[in-house]
Amino acid sequence: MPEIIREAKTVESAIEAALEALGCTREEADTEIIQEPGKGIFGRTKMAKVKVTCAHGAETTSANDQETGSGEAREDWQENISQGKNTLTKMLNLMGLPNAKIQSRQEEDAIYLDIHSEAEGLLIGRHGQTLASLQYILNRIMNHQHAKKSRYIVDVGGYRVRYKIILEKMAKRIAHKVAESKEEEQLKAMSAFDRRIIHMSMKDNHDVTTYSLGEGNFRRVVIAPKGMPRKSEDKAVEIPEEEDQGGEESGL
Amino acid sequence: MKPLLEFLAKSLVEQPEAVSVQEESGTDGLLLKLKVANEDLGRIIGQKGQTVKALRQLLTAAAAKTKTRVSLVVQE
Repeated sequence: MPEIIREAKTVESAIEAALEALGCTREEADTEIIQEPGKGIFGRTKMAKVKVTCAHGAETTSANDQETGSGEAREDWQENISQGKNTLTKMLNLMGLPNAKIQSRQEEDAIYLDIHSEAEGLLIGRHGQTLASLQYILNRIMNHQHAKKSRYIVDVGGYRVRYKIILEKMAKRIAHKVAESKEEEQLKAMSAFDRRIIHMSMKDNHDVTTYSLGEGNFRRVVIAPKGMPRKSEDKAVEIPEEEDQGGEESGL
Repeated sequence: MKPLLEFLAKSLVEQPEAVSVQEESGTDGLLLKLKVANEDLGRIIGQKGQTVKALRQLLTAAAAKTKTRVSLVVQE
């Protein structure tokens, strides 16, 4: 008989979450309250903790979960996966996309949820903004409601994977150009996530280095030939750096 | 639109019972007025308004599905 322990802000929501994870109704389940919620020490909230046992024995996870983890950690993962899936499904339903299917996969340190829907473009949004919001809000909700934390990556029809390959290709092309011309080149402004992909892809390149320039939404990656001094800002004063002169000048 | 905002807001706050959403049709599409407990304002707005920005983005996407416009106001 599958049983599950859930923590949440209230007894009610803990039971609900457990029932949802088990896939059974309240009539079929036995619930036991392990801990009542309340104010703990230093005004921290004490979570409600319940144990729910399901009489009819439904599966905890749906069939298309591809599991890769091992041992005890896997149970936590499986729980987090099904919870994340449930919440995301609810969000999509309420957004008027009841036919969306979610495939889940466990990655190194994150749970990858791929949405399959006819409304791909809508879910991705301009520059992937809607997708980024979906992921952000899902992570906020999950981290807020559940004690066992994990990170969620939300994708739509493999968009993130495709986009990553496009970014890497572009970086490679420009790196090649930079290596030939010995002149650094600025890319367009990108999010931290995207910049990271480029930095990582250029990490082992022998000819060029990368760094970022600009603030906030305007921050962009610069691909520069190795050994060339960085521009610290657009109109930067060139600070002489250890040229083959005897005495090193202290730049300001 | 209202159920979506209600669900998201309730999932983000400490006091879901204090969440209320008012729907008005303004000159520029739908206007959603969100009220939460004072202590929960920060959770709805987020660091540098990041959370409320993401909420608006999701509402806009959902509204685009029905070809309408939507705006969100968080009330104190």
